Amino acid sequence: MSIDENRPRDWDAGLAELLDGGQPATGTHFDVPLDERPQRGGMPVEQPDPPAPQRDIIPAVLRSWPALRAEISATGGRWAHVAGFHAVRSPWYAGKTGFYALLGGFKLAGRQLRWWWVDEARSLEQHAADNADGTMWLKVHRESKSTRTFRGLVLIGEAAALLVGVPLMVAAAPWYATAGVAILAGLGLAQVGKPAGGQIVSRAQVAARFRKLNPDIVLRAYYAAGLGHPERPGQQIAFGSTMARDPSGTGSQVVIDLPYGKGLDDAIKARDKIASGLDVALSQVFISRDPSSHRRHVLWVADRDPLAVGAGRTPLLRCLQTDIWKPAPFGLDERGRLVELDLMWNSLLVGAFPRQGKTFAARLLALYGALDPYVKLTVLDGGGKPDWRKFSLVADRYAFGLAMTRDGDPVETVLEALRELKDDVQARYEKLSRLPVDVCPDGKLTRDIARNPKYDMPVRMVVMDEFQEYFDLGEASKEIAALLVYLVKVAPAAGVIFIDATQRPSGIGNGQIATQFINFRDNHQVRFSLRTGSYNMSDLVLGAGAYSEGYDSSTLLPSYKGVGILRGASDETPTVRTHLADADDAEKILKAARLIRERAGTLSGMAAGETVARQRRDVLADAAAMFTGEAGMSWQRLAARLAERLPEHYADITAETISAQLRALGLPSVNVKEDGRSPKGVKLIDIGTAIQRRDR
Amino acid sequence: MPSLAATATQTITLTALPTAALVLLTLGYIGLCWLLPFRRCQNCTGTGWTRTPLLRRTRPCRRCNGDGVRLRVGRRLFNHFAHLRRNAR
Repeated sequence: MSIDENRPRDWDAGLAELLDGGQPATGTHFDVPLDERPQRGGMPVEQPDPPAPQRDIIPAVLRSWPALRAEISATGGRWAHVAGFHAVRSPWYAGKTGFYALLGGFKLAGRQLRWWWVDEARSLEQHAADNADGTMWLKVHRESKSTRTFRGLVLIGEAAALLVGVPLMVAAAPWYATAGVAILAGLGLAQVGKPAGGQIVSRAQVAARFRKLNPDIVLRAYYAAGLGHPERPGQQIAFGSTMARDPSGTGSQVVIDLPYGKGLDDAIKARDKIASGLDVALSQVFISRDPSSHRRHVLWVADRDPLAVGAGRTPLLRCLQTDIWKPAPFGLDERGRLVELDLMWNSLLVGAFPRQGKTFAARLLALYGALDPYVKLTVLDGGGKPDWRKFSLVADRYAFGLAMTRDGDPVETVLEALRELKDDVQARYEKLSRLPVDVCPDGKLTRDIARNPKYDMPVRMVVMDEFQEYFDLGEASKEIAALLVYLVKVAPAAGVIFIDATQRPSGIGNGQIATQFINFRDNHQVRFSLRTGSYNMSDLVLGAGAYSEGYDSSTLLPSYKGVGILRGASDETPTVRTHLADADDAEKILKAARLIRERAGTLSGMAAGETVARQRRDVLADAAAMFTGEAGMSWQRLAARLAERLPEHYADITAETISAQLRALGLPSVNVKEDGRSPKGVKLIDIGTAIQRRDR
Repeated sequence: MPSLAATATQTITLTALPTAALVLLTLGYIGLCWLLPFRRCQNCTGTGWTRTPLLRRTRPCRRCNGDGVRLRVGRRLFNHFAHLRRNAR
């Protein structure tokens, strides 16, 4: 079917055919039959029916014996608490009841007297007297007089019944009947006597109270926020669903349809105004996308501030082996749903003010990696905080801080680790491209390849805390920066997971390094921002545009610890309360992780002691061995002896370096006697105490 | 003390008793004006009808408009003051 390009085209004929939908006439270039003509103004389509949530036929409680037992014990405990609570207070209740019963007796008598005297007629009589209306007064007076006579008779009857009945009851009826009647009468009188709205019995449980949301309040809030207008045509807010408690029972939710032309962004921008209109705290209002239309969204109003409630301890505390190919539990979102984070192929940037739980959040994920024995961990902490030290139990490479330790210079370790990583990543791509298709179908690392020691390509996890420090080291930073930028761009696809935390997301270094820092920062795919100082800092961590989408981590309250906004992990951008793993938990988990790794035979690198001998030397023991009967020794002589006797480890040691290393371990530099002089040096007894102190 | 008390009681009784009686009477009358603001009409003795002096024909009492009851003087006084007070606004 060819089109003759040289023929003049008859556009009008073609258009006419198109509108007719008829068969194309020969001689035009519309050779292919078109779809049927679209109906003007759209067409009604069937609304997709959402599957209604089905309730269990047999409640979950009744399905298993332990669940039933737990339910019974929980209910029993609740009842026991209520019973105990009231039992302790029963004398107080009895006293209160007695007092109110007495009061009730007087009240009842007064009420009956007023009834007898036809109180309501009095105002009529007074009114007649005020108007000097004798006829009216006489009428009312006569009426009330006869009523009074009848009511007086009734009251006399009642008094007689009481006067006869009470002594008769006391004398004739069994004591328990009398007591029962007395108690009942007392309770009744107490009901009469207690002040309106007063309670004799106090509540054992304090019921949670929350603001009940109704459509009027919601409409008021939306109109007050300027998202619609109650009177103008076509500007009304509509409800897409009925107002309901949400399934978790922690808030009310409703689907809102904004007027045409208004969208989710407007609602998110007006969130503070909506919160004000609903008369709740900003942190209780959540607006989330509805996939069916942009003008429709789900409004969820929590009963209480959901972020102020902690998410609890991490499930990793079970110390079971994890699988890095499965999402890691990270925390709970505002609705109390579990947030899981897929770590594979990802790089995560964690940013926040100091002391907001940044390290804890990063460590939580690092612990998940640690519990998978087939993950090779590299932990580089630019800060040198105690939080990360225990990762030396499992990490293939680790460097804490920037100060020289007896393990060597951490900056050197970082450089070596990154160089090795780069080589490894490049080698991986080589190896992967040479693997047969049936082993490696997508040209990507798979779980089987990663776990097969034959290929030597385990998933690697690089955790860097306070990584801005590595960009601020002067000469050394140049290479580190270049390596980091390369790695964060290229390595995730080779199965290297990056988890990087910083408290300074901008303004590090200058010139080339500053650019590389920004490059490095912006190449993270997943962002987690705990509380930041300002919305621009939040944008730096969460990525540009987060603020305009309504995500601003500077609105998180300082009292929320470990709460942050997770962006880029999924379609949603939840506010996550991270699970807690404190120092003790981390140590416990890491010890378990080491055991798991030992069992799997994957303990490697520095954690397994496979480092350069010098870095693992016990300087204290070596120094102590240099003493041959002296009480103290000068730094010069100590350095000379170390270099002479242990040249493989201390070949180029100087008096300054050994002094720095030993003083870092808490040894004092003192004057020692040596050849008639008294240079600075170290005493054997101090080394002994230092060894004892360390070994304790 | 007993002798002193006797004389004191006597002097008090002399001046206080009439005063107390007066006060009680006033209070009683005020109470009466409140509870029973009307009294029987003296002109028609509560019947509401009087006879004309010339023809002895019965007609409604002029004082009480045929009600047979009239407002007590005290209540009338009170009403008057109440009206004054109300109109003063």
